[in-house]
Amino acid sequence: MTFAEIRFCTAAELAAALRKRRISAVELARASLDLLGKLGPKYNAVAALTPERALDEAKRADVAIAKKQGGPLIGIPYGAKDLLAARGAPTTWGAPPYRDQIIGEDATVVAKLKKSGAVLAAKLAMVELAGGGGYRYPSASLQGPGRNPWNVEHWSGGSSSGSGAAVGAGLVPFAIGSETSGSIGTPSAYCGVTGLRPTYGLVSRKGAMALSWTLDKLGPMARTADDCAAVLEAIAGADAADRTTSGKRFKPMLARSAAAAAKRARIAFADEDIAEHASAEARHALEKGVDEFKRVAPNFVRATLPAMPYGPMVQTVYGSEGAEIFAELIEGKRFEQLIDARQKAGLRAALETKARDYLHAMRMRTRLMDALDSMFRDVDVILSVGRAITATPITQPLDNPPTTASATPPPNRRTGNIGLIAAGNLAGVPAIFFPCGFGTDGLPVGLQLVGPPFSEPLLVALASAYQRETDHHTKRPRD
Amino acid sequence: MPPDERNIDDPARLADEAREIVQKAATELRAQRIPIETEPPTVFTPD
Repeated sequence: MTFAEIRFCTAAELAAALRKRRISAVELARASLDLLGKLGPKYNAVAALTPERALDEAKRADVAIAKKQGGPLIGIPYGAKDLLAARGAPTTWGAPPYRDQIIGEDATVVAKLKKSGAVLAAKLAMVELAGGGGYRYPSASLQGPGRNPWNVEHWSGGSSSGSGAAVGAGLVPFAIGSETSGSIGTPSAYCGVTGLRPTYGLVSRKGAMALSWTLDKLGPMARTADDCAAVLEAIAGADAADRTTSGKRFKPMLARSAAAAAKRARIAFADEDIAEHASAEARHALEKGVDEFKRVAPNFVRATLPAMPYGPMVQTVYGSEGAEIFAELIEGKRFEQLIDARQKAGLRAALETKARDYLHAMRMRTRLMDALDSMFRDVDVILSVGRAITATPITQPLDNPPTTASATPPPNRRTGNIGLIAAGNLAGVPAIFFPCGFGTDGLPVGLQLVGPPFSEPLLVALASAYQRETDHHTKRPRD
Repeated sequence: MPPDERNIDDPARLADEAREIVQKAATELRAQRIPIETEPPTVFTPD
């Protein structure tokens, strides 16, 4: 296979090529390392290449493939957000105070991917400390602003900036990202890739930087929903080292069951999510995407989230947990090394959050979980926009106008399900984000589906059915 | 309240704004009445 043929392949396509010996895992690893090395800097996507490890893992994969061993990820290169520990590479958390940090063991997710035969090619750039203090500029990262493969003058999204850009630019077929509130969804939507935020507790977070113990999740970002499923199957499951893991596994539905499930699924949708909240650039493509989705899953009903202050709730939870996690840093000398002045101010201020307010937000989470439980008796999934806007310019402050996923909608508009990213994260429920076209500015837009806890098989089935009927996920940016 | 004349990236202004954001969130949360029996979700499970 030529270099051009490899780039933008899905993991499933590469797995087929490996099985047919059209390429070896070592050749594939070298090609991916070359792509990441040459083009990674253009998007500020790479924190560190891992060539020795990649070639070692690829050699082992070739041996296994020769023996007809291994599953769908054997020999497939990938990148891991730089908040995941991995032997043989620094783990910087995107933040100058940790630029030399070496963690001498693999995060559970990285270890599970190694066991499945995947090949770690790079640590991928991220917003410093996953942006827990509320950053103002996309430049809040050791690697500089994440640049969008569709227009490098626009942001790739955060905080899994490098994961979104590397997959969107075709440098790796999949990457691991993390989400506390929007950090898989935003870069997936902005870069035109498919991202899956698992149910809280489905995937171990051992070895991942903690920002919020009760909100953090790790999940795949890839070119298709089916690839996300293959990765999720490899990384889900119990881990004695992470007490929040549920012990549940993930298995995708069989094709026939998936098609039937998509046809009968009850889809909650609120038209104001687009009509009243989408930007002028994004609106038409989002509306068209919803119309296309209706052809796959026609059973739409109007249903909306309960009215709650999702922004203040999620901000209070991750703010106070993050401030406690990083208290020693915040109160020490290295804190000033952080890049983004607003993030520093936010972390300092969050240290002063009162226990009663944190607990009030947590008790409201209980109410939210109950409300969603009730909502999911009447509908199977909620469909909404991935993001209501396209990627913002690199130089534009993220808080002016407010573009955070957790922002409280303006009071003069119907709220619909526009708070779904914050609400979904607060309730710990899964989501899948998938591209549905391009805005008038040429930048990707996407939709999201959210279901009850552990409904990942249905979410994947629906997004996969949509991707069989459309070709948005196959579009490639030009270099 | 008069508009803040300081540069938007002025550290003192950022500190003031960050404290205001925390306070505003607290005010919005406290405005939500919750039944006394509602407990926070817990991950505390004694072995």
